[in-house]
Amino acid sequence: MFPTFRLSMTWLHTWFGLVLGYVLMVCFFFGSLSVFDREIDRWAVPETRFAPQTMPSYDKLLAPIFAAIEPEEEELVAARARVGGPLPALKPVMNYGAYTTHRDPVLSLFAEYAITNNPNDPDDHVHGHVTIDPRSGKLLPHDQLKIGSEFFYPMHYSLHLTWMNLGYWVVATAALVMLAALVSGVVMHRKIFRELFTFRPKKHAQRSTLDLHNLTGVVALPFHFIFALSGLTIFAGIYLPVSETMLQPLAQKHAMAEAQAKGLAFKPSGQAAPLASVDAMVLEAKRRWAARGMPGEVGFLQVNHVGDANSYVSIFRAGSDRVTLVGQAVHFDGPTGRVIREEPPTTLATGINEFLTGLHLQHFEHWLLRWFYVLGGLMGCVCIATGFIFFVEKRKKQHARAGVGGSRWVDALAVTTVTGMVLAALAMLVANRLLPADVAHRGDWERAAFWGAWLVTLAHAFWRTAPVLQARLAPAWREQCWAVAGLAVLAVLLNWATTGDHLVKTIGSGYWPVAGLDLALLASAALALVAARKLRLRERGLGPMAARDAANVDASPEVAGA
Amino acid sequence: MFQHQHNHTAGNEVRNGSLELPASPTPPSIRPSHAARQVVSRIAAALLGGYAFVWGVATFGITALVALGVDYGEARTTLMLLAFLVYLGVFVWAFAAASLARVWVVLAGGGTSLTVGAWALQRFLA
Repeated sequence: MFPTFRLSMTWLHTWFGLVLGYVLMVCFFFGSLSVFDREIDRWAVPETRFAPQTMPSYDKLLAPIFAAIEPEEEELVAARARVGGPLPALKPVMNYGAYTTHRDPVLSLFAEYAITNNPNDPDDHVHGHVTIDPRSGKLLPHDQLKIGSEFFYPMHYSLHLTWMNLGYWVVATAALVMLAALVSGVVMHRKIFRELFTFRPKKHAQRSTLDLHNLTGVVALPFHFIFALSGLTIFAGIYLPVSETMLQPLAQKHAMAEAQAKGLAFKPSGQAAPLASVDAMVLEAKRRWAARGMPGEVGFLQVNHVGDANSYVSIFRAGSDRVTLVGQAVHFDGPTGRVIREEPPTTLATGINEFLTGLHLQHFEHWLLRWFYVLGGLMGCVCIATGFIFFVEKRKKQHARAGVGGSRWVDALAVTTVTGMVLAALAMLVANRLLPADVAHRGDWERAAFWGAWLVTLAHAFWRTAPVLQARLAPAWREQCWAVAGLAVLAVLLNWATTGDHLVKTIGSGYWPVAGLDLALLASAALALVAARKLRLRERGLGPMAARDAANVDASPEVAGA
Repeated sequence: MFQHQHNHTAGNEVRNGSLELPASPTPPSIRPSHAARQVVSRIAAALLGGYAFVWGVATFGITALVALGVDYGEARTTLMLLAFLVYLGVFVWAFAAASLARVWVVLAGGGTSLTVGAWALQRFLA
């Protein structure tokens, strides 16, 4: 099919990059936002704007809250469908869990309840969730959406396409294509080192776009490669479910042997037994971590087989002080409180896996490094976006002459996934501040604002890219840049008006979760304004670049040879 | 990008927006529909054949390591770390290889053989 290796790689890079680039853009942009998902949560849920808290007392505060959790109604509906009839009145509690990080003022709790009458699945169960203020134990309103950690973060790995895990598979394909695009991109460029220092913004659009595409691709190459790869390995259990399917006999045998070796009960005994003091267990776990030279706080606490003689409590350490995501779990016997097992240091493959996972999920407390993550992610966005623009710039004259619309449609989709996506996220933040605090299904309205705004930008992009048919610049880019600037400033003003937390106050008191997002919004607005101005000059054929654009690509063998 | 074009004087095919190929890689006797089928087949080989191959590598690798005395969890983690690198390799190769038939034979055939091997090996182990 291809006469040379280089041509095959060029084909792969161009066409897979184009088709999956739209998905990759979503992954990179929302992945970048996810670095500060907890901070976005604080902005979106103003009553949680207080300092991060450590795990509160289980015995005094959490135990009664766990006992009062109810299973989610929609999960019960789904369970009724699985069972094919009514559920038993009593849903025995299986497990309790509490999860926090060094950036969480609020604490998420969950409980699992057994569905005992499903003939097809003896382990069938449903969940209940609450989020509390750990200082007082007060419950947070249930339908309040944590926009950062519950919407932007899952967006980057699942696209919120939950049907048959479709989103995960689309993202996986995109991640594989990202890896292949990096490999093929390197093959296409022999002068890889020179790309690191080459950016000629004053050249015509096609040339400077390609420079920027190469520069961002090459500078952040290790970052892009590691993130696409670790994203795949983190969900390897979904993409290659060997233990759940073909190798189930082997996996099950191993799981039973492991549980036995660890002394952790696989199933409840059926005998009721009270739980010893969990606070005492937490103290002991912390003492053991300190004795191993890694003192720390509790990140995750789980009570297994609640209320049973076989119950045990697993206490995991929060990974705030290292890249590698390790739990150093200590497991305690529930009824007696004695230590059953302390997880030993990990083996080689597990260690590498934990390092890669930790590198991707960045639970560590290092603000400069976190910002580098955002920068790396945004460089990925620039790389993909310039790829689209280069595709269009390279072809639009040819397409205009031939009277085909290819580059116009590519441009329209590029507008939708670049500025349109930013607008959708901004619309969600604006909706979050405009909706009344007590409106029912608040989160659903916010989601609707997001998808609705994105659809509007799609329609606008398809409408206002028509000039591409005459090989001219699409006004859609400029107009959406104006909208980005407007909405970003509006979000900052609305935050001020509805919460009183203006920038002078938040910066003055050093409250960076909200100050940081406000500043980022203003910076985005400024950038969008600069872009809109430059685009207007180009559209009118003014400015230093436009002249070169007009002077044109056709006469330039250097571009063809790029 | 598109560096391969640097010695072209007629930049015609550079901008022709089709398959990024010089104008005449396909003999005129081959109909366009045939070329399209080739492209679809190659994409399917890379994605689906590649997946089958990776599945075979993962399952066979895990069972082989377990047979050699490695802990199942450790074996699984090892293969999951390698699986996507293998996928990347065969994905790129599926486009670089000259013979499409060979791509299919290696990926689908290899994937099936490895999977059958893993299945047989597991019967001794579990």
